[in-house]
Amino acid sequence: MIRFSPTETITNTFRTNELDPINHRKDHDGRFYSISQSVKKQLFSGGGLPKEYKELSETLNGLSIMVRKPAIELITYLNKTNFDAPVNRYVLYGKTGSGKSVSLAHILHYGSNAGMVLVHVPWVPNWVRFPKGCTPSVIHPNKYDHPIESVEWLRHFSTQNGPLMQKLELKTTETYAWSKREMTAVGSPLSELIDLGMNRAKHATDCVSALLCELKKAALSKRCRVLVVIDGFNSFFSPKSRVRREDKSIVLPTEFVLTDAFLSLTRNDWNNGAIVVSVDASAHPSELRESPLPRYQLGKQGFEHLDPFIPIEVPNYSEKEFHSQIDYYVERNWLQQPKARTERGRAELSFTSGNHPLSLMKLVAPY
Amino acid sequence: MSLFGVLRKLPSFNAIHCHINFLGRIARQQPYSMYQPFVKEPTYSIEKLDQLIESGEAKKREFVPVKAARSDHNVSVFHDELTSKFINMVMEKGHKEVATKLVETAYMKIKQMQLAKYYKATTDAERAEIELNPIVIFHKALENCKPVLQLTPIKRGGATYQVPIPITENRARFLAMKWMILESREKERTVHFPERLAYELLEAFNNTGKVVKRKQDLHKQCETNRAYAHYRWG
Repeated sequence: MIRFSPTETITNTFRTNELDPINHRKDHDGRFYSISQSVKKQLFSGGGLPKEYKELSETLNGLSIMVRKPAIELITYLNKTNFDAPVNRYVLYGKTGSGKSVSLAHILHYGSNAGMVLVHVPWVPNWVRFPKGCTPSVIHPNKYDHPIESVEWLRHFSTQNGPLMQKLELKTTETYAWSKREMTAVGSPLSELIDLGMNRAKHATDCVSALLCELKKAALSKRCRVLVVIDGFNSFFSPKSRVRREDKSIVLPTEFVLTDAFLSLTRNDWNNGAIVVSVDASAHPSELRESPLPRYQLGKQGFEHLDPFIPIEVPNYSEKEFHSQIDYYVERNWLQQPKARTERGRAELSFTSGNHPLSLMKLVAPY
Repeated sequence: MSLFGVLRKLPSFNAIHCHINFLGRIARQQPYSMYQPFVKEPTYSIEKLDQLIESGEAKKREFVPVKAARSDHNVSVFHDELTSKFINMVMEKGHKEVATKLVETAYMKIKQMQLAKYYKATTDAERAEIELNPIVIFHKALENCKPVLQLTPIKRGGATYQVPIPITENRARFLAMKWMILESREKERTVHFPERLAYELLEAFNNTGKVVKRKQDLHKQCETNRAYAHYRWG
């Protein structure tokens, strides 16, 4: 088939026609399920899929994500969560390129289908390592704003949660005074807050903080359920950033207003939600990449902030998943070499890639 | 004398200094080679080795000395000799990794471009016509770029004439690869070598493009100079 149609009967063993992540269970392990173009545009247009993965999905004429054990584990937990208890925090960890971001994308789709408000940060190091212009904050002394990134993030938030926010009609619980004449009164819709942030870059960062605060309160008063998904969370505790003061001293990520906002949201002092976070060695500078484990990557500060959390490892492919991935590449005409499609070819690919997802993708790419 | 000494020799300048008849050039056996002439090239493909064992050839080769294995010789399912040769020609200053990456990126881009056409096509017949394997495309493209004759400058009575002469297989392959690489290096600032190479290979595969044109120009020149062909023999 050329473009995989979800209603077609499945004859191959590496696909599943269970398109709703809420229903993904252990028997779906190692199978691909496809995500429609509209859902992809809604959820991932502001980021969330790794760049090469996204390009590959466009080449192969459709986004299909493999259902793997970490995501299935998370989905089981999220389905069984007692939302009256304080929020649970889940930390995905694993080697770089083992599939954490894609698992988070899967969970994002789950949250969207489950009617949860999505608070999604696609890749935190973008704010720390490549900020497009940090300005000192007016409201918070000694802190720094991200005007451009905040506007982008608000746009991303409104794209992801557009229809849901219209349905929920959440209102602000506080007055926000932006300047002498501008203010957002109590009881005004949250969409007004978001629009203000998108139009006024100067106040965008503070809008983000306000929005996150409001969502937390809304979740506490059972007006909505919030799913927080953050990729590269350990970057908030990075020892370096590319932002410098006038005296050339480095501004640490803990001195960003955005960091405070998201750290406040990832504290377990609220309920009716869930927090799924990933830690990756590539989110830290090269001196801090020795171990992929959460305690090392988060550091003392990060660990104390997130403790207690549920760590979920994202391992390399199992044998079943590996063969499923090769089947997918063969079926989509990506793995072209006839010799590589044989058993010997698969054995070679398994050995040279070490069943590591990113390495496999890179090995198969030219052939 | 050690085996190493038997197989290899100090560079002797006999072959270079001997008088070589320029016109009656015979294929030299690598005068710069560190190996003695009787040392054979290694066979490293598993299929070929199995064939040799089956046919009984392997028994005859048991005691024939063989050259050392090169670093690009491997039994990988992705190994292609022509691609190896091409990567060596793309390589500059010994940066093999860079050259490999460039050529492999070009292969990936070829696949991307062909797959875009494939998924756009509406009928099965159209899809069957589209070639997706980058190595097949590379082989065919090189075939289409190989010249059949070459020009050599020959002096007669004070004037130098460009005389068409036959071309060896190796020389034809070399020229095809060289032209392909030179064409791919000419670029705009934003279009890099792999992308350019991918475009050139696809065009050559369809018998169009600048490299095929260069071959055809060479053939035309040979045709116009066919009057001088007898100068080859004096």
